[in-house]
Amino acid sequence: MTAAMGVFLLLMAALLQSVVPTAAWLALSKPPFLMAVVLYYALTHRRGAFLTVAVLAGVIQDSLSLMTVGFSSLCFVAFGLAVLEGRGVLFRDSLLTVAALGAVMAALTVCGLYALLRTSTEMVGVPFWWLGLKVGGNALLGALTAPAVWLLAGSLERHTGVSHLEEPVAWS
Amino acid sequence: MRHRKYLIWITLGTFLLVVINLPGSFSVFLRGVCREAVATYQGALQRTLSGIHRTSSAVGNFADVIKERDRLKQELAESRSQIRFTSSLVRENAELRKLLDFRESSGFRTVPCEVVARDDGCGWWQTIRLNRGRSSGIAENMAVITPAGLVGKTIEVSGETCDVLLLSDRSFKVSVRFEQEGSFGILRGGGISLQGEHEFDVLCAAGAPQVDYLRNDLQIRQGETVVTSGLGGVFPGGLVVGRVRRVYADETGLYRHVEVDSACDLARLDKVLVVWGGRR
Repeated sequence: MTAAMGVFLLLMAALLQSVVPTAAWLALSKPPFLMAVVLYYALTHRRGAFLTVAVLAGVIQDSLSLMTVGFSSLCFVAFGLAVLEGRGVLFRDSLLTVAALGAVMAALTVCGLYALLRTSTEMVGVPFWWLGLKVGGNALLGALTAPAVWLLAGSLERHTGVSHLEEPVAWS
Repeated sequence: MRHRKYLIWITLGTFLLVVINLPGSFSVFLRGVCREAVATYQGALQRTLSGIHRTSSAVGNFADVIKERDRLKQELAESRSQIRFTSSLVRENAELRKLLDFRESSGFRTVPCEVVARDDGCGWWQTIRLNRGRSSGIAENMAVITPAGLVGKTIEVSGETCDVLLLSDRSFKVSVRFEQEGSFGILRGGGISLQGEHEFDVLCAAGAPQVDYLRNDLQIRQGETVVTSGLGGVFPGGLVVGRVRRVYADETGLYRHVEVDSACDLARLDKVLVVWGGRR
């Protein structure tokens, strides 16, 4: 059941991420739904489930774009693990924390992907201002997307009775 | 008092006798004056009465009126919907005819495709996804065109879909020739521009593609047509890329750069042709 839920969340996230329109003034940043699912798993699930979801989310995200398959997985695993290791000291009860983590993780993911793209020479260099906009745009969208996914995924798991490390917090 | 009463009756009788015995012409004149004087008020009164009648009828048939109004509203909505549908069919029909004419007249062997998605999932590249892939004979690095001109090239192909890197993407490069001047150059995509009108659409804000490092002595004029040169093996020669928008000098003064207006409206791509195998 846990695996089915993970697959369902990833598919929904991928679908949303691919169809939601974007804007030039956000440097074409897409709402990072897949990253938000990874963050949700990093904060609430066991390490094994998180790693599986992070790798799968990365593969799906790269398959949707022209990115070398594995780049996003690498970023998701790296930044997700940092969250997972530090979740004991985080105020997970607060939506604000989730929003902040979403923003930071989205921004770091963009930086990580840019670094990987530059090293793999698959991309002509983009202007610095454009990269800045993209980091900012992703951070903004990450801050909006992460709490929404957190609430929806938590609610879905509670209703379907999926058990994991800790129950998602009931928001008041 | 009684005499006065008789006097009134006698006067009245006399007056009536006089009136009755008026000469014919005067009688006609008097009748005309009276009729016309009354007619004005008759008309007004008649209109008022008709209005009252209509209003009372309408109030009496109010339920029917509401029913009728609802029916007409529904009919209007259906008619509008049909008109919209017909208009879209007409537009699609015209587009398909244009595409078919171009297919036959261009001499290229092409595969007609529909755009099923825009931009990649991360927003790093400017791409579109088409509904045809390897099963239709499409492979990587094939030119994608419309009757207006060059759109881009195929980059990733699966069984039933393919991704197209658009002319506007920064990593897109194509060897071009200035049609009148005859010189060659490498055109690269302009990426995303933050100037101009922006909508929630990736492709609306595409920057102008550029040809860089052109010699200063070349006589390239504004409005000149830019076509593919055929060099490089990916794009067949002679495909229209766009027109020269602006020619300006490099900061060092050693070279010139040319901005090109894309011939295709990349923001509104719907149906495209993938060129395979060169000319027939």
